[in-house]
Amino acid sequence: MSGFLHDVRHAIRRLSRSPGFTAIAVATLALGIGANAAIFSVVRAVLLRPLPYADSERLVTLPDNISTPELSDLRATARSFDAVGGSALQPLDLTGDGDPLQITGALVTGDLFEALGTRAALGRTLSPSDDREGGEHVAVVTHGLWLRHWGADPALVGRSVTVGGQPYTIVGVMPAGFALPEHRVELFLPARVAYPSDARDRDVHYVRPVLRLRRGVSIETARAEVAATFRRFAAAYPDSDTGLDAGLVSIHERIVGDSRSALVALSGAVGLVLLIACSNIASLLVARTRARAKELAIRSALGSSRARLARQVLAESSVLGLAGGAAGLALADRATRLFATRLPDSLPRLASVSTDRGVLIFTLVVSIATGLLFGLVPAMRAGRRAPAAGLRGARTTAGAEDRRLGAAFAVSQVALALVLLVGAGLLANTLWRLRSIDPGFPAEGLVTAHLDLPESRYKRLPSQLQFRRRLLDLLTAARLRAAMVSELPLGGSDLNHQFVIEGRPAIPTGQEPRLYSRSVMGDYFGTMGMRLLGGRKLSDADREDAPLVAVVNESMARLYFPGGSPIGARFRWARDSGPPQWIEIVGLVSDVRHFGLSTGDLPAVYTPYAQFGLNWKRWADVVVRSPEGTPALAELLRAKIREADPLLPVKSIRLYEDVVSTSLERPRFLAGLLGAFAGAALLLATLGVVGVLGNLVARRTREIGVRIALGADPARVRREVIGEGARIAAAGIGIGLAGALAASRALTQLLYAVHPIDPATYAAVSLLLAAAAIGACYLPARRASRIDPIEALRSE
Amino acid sequence: MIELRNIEKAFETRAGKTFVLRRIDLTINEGEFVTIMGPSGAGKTTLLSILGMLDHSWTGEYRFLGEAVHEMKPRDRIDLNKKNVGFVFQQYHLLDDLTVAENLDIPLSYRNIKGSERASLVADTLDRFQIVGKKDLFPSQLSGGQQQLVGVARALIARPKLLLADEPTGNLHSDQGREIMRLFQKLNDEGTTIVQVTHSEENARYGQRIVRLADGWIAGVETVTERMGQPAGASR
Repeated sequence: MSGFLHDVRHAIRRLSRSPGFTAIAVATLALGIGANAAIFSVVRAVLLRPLPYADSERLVTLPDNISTPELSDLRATARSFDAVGGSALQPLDLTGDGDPLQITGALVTGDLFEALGTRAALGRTLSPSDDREGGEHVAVVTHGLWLRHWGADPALVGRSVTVGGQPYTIVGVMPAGFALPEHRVELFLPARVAYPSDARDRDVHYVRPVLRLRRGVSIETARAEVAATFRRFAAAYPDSDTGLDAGLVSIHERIVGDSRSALVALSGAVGLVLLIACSNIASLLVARTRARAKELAIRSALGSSRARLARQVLAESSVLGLAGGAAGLALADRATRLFATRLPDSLPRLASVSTDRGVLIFTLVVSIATGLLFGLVPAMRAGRRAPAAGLRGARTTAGAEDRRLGAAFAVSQVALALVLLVGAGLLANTLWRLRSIDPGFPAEGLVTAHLDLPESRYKRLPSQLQFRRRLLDLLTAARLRAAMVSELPLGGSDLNHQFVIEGRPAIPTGQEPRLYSRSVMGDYFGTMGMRLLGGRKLSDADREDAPLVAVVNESMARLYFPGGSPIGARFRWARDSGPPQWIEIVGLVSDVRHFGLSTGDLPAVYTPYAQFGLNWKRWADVVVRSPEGTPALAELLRAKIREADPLLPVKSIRLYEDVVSTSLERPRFLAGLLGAFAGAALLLATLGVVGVLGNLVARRTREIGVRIALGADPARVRREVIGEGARIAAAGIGIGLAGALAASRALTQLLYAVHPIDPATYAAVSLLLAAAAIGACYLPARRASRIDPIEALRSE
Repeated sequence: MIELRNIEKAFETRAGKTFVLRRIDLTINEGEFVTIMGPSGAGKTTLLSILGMLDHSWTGEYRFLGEAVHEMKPRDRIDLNKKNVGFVFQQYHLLDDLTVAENLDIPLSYRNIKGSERASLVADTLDRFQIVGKKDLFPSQLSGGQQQLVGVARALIARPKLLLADEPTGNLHSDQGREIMRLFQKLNDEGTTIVQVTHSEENARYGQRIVRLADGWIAGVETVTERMGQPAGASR
């Protein structure tokens, strides 16, 4: 051990004597190791770290929302679970205790907190005994809201607050950092107390279930039991419970499942960057070891074993690896801070991204492994060199083996860089294709604002309609085109119901097809710029007391009225209570990209806000378009909303272009990050080619001098060096293409309208890399062509 | 063949201008065998490089076969070198990775000569220098004398009018050295103009004239009266 420490001390001394080499090596390694540490910190936070609940691996959920009665029945009958609970998002207004506050709350059913295994920090959580119709008005708040709104008042528990116009007693404050698995909310109310009608309705599937598996019960067993239970439910309640999906999944998988392929791709990318960095440094170390041939020969002649010589080189590579790791960790720390602000919201669990102890250990292991990896070849060569050859003095011609080794390093770097560049190219191609998709309406010039009408003042439909009409009148008076919609295209929300078309063969109850429903008011289609393909638009005349009407989209017409027109046909919602309420289709409009730019629209229907008496649909997105363009439009919209209701908080006024842009956040982030890694790889590979050729020229100085003395002209010398670089590039690109063909399949899930083997991308990337590599040859080639044969031969 | 007038070469150093060659006036006729001698640092190799048109940074007038080298662009000088000059180096400077035959081919490869013609020239030269048996060997498999023999063969393969040799026997033992010098003399007898740089008085006596340099100046020019391997007073 002391011998190794001695070697380490010598290595540090040697490295400090060549600060240029050391700086380049450490910077290269910092880039490679730092990128790995940063991505590992994200992978660890998102994929590896368990959810912050006790025994979180036992937490499972269902693919779809279910109703409160279904959840209760499941809880009562299924034996696979220790606890069964659920929650539903609900915008809530908190009044009467300081400034009115609009917050996102959760309606909690059953034993959600028991299922999550979390206790309150102050007071208590909500239990099944709180969640009963006619029960006491009790509420639990998050630590954040307790701090923000009540200044961490320890006497808050027991105090009455007004939520949605109703008094609630706060019975508990949750611990800091507590959050529901899938949502960020600030206040919890018992569902059956706050919204008894919805909680009573077996057909309102609005609860996101959280189930805790009984210890020792596998998810497969639980799945089988839930499937059997749901079959019984369907037999007993065919109207509401047919088609319930029993496909239990772990909550962790549900949250992070979508991110897995992206993170795997990024991990692969940073792995490749590190490999390129290793190859780069190994190549430099080989050259450095060659330059130390005489010293190593003397040591060997004085009795040093080959293993000892190899150990000296390994000590140097280990010191470099650790120094690179330390610098890389600092870079990773910066990067994770940047991730926290720049990573897309669609990537879950980002709040917990940090360079913690796990990341530290990872970086240490990677640093040591990296040092050993890139030191291996130079160490083996140091141990192998015959002392006599070294003592005779190193010749400066490049031996065939040296040349092959240097070229092999450069070829590997070019090949690895090509794999990365192909990945980045495919994702950039995907992004470009996504950006060029027409969302179905011109987003330019549109501004949107989200409104949640507080229940305290807008409990019933008439007051909601009055506000909506007043706001649209104000906006129209300001010479704007304005409308409202309940589910904004690309806004991330949707609502669907089962439906029946009049005159069609009967469909068994519960198996009716689903239709997406979007409530609108004002000239929505005109404001959005959607095309009317038949019939008429919805108008102000389609009021509460007018016949029920709807406009359907192309997808609906195509699927359910193939070859014919839907205009004049009638349909009804399958779960309507009371006598059938037939809705006449009066218009047909073009599809929009509602669910994402890469996803086509699904059958949908637009109905007037005024009809159907949906008191609970208190939210809306206002869309406004001005013929004069968007500047100041946002402010005008805010002013008009304030004029319509001075107390109404206005959330998120956004340019529609930003809404579209946000939907591209994830592919853009991924393409950007992979592009950055590919850029780093390209830079490292290019430097690798420069380094190898530079070494080659340095080692071939005498040979080139001889050739010039024998008549080679400078252009020919330049061509020879560039030819060497071109051969390296060609071999690297050839191998890289084979690697990319295999690796690109891993990106399939992340691509849109681009085949993993897209010839144009492969060709473009190969050309780029070839140009960069050959361009990189210029400097060494110029140096070679300027070798003074006299100096070169004299220096012998 | 060669006329040098007022050739000077200097380096800028911290101490000022340092001259390597000063006011060199020298004429070398076709078919001559001239030896340049002088202590280390006298400028011998530099003068040889200027003669071989490998060194471009000098002042003065240099006419080679009637052409004004001093007025030529470097590229034209290289062409003139290619057509007319062959080099022999003290350390042979054979390329380690190439066989004897491939080393001989190098100068031809830079001279727009057809492949078949090159092969024939290489074969002729191997034959002429009696190294056919060694054509597939690498330099490391040859003795010093054999390596220098290949070096001379390589210098002559493109049939230069002028052979420049920088300490051609410096790395050889005396027998091998004498063999190379006799070869030079034979080549000279066959019409090749030779300029050699050497420290050896004995080798100098294989030539006809000795130019002595000191501190960059021509310190003296003397005619060899008793050439090695030739009757006293014999001179062409």
